[in-house]
Amino acid sequence: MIGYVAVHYLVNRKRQAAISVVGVMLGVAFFIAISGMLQGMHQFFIKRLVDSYPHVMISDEFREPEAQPVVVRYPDAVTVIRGLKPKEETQGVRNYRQIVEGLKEMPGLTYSPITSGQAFLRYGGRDVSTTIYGVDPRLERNASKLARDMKQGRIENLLTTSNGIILGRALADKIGLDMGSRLNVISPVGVIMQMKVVGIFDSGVTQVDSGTSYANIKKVQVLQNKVDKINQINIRLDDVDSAPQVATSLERKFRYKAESWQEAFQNIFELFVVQNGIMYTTVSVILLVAGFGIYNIISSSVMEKYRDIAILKSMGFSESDVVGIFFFQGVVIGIIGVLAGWACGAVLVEILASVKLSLNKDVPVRMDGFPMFRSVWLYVAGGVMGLLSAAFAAWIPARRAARLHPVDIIRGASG
Amino acid sequence: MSNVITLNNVTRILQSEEIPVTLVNDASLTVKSGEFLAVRGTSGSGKSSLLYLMGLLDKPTSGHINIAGIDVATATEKVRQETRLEKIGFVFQFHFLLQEFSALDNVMLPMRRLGRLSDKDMRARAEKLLVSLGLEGKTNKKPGQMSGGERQRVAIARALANEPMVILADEPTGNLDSKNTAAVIDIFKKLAHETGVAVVAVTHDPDFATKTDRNIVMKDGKIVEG
Repeated sequence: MIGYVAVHYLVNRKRQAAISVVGVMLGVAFFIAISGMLQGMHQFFIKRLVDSYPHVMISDEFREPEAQPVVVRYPDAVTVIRGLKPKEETQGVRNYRQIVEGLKEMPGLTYSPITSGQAFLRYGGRDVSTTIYGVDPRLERNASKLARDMKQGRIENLLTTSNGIILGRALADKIGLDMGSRLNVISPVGVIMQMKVVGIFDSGVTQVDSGTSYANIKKVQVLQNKVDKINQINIRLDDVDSAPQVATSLERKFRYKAESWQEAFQNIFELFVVQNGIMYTTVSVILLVAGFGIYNIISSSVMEKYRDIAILKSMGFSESDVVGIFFFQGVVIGIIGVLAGWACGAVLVEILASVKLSLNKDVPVRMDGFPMFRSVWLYVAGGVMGLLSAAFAAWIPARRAARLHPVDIIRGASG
Repeated sequence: MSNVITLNNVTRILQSEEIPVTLVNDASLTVKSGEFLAVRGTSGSGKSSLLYLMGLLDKPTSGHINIAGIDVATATEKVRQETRLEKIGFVFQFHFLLQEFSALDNVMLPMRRLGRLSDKDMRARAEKLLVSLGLEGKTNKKPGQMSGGERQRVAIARALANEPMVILADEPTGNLDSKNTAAVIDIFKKLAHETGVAVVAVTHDPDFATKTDRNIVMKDGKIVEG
């Protein structure tokens, strides 16, 4: 009954209704496309970062510096220490073998002890700085995706070739090195080592590919003058989401700073929050405009139908019937708009997915196109938002219509 | 003839911002089934206000209104709404037909709201009513395609849709020419006398009043005659 009257009214205002439908459709479609694109980008970034960096990294640092003996001795006193000199000692993770033994016992993870440091690559009169990681290839194979990223050579070449080095593709290109090239590697402590390029990798993360190199851990320890010392342990987890809990537990157990990937990339996640904020604001504005369109059409319909409302009420239609008639119109506009928005959104997603990007090679993470996130939940969320905005926009004038007093209208019409 | 509407000491005071205005003052009246009654009076005498009170479109400030044994003055809005739907039919000076609907659909609207008949039966009843009011061949016409007299007859058919006990008409011939006025009065008279529906019509027209069974006259909100 309510639908019967409402549809008659709506059909009579096809043009205005169509404009409102387009408003809802655009809001829903943009929501699906933009959220699909942003969430796709976020997931792509996270996947690349999670793949390229350790899930948990134990480093040779402490979050809380060790308390000075005088502070320990007089815990309640106000202590001022002047002229404190740090110990002149080579940093590194002490008793790392004990930590490694502890890690062996833990299920769901693989690890790789690393000695890292800065070095210069000298080739053909050019010097390029690099962070050189000394790894045990047998452990590193399982603890990172380096083995998968190898474009030339194999990670095991570090075992078979004396003084072998593996370079990131961008780093190799920068200095003009290729497989088999020999170069000098110079450490900050003055050790010079001639090394041979035995592999080239490409992780897709520009920062990694343009500044990272790998060598056998023993060689790097010599190069950095850190014999039998390591300064980090990279850990890879089966369940990447459990990294914060694992990091906390390791830090509590071994005292060394254990940083999860979530903590390491916190600033990027904060950027994602800002991006999401911008996206949801934009989409909300579109839906708000669509809502105003619906409010406008229902509101003007109510004004046009004052006499109808009066006669319907005098016939015995209740207030809720009148609300229903006008509310129904908004909901119908909302439903048609949402359905059209779903279709339009799906098309937009595919169009965006097919766009080929040719970005500057210096972008943080390389990608060939928009990595689109496709999920039925985006459609559900877009649909709910579209319907809610339509329903709310229709509810206000519908309530106003229901509260009209028929006598006032009839007297006005007669006067 | 049974009592259809009984008003006992009904008063309606409009609380305006400046001074209260008494629209109906201590009105008592009984309308019987099959009675054709005219309510007359000058403009502002309270005759339309009395009609709206009888039709449950307005609530009295004091007094009792009894329709078919129910005191509707103090009843809930739901009871008043259902009483309007089932027992009362309205005809106004303006036809107030829904422009988007055909004559047939307009007449079927109250039946649809009541929901007691199948679509087929509703259609048959609406057609019968329209034909009985001389609107054969016009059932599928929209209000914009009909003359003033035809629209008012559709409005009467709509008022009769749910077989009400009483038709309340507010200046039903106010916008009609003499020929259509005579036709509408004739319809009301036949309705009252042949079907037993009570008809209460508010009118300015002295000729209209001569054709009814009874007249009441209002002045300053009071029933002064009848």
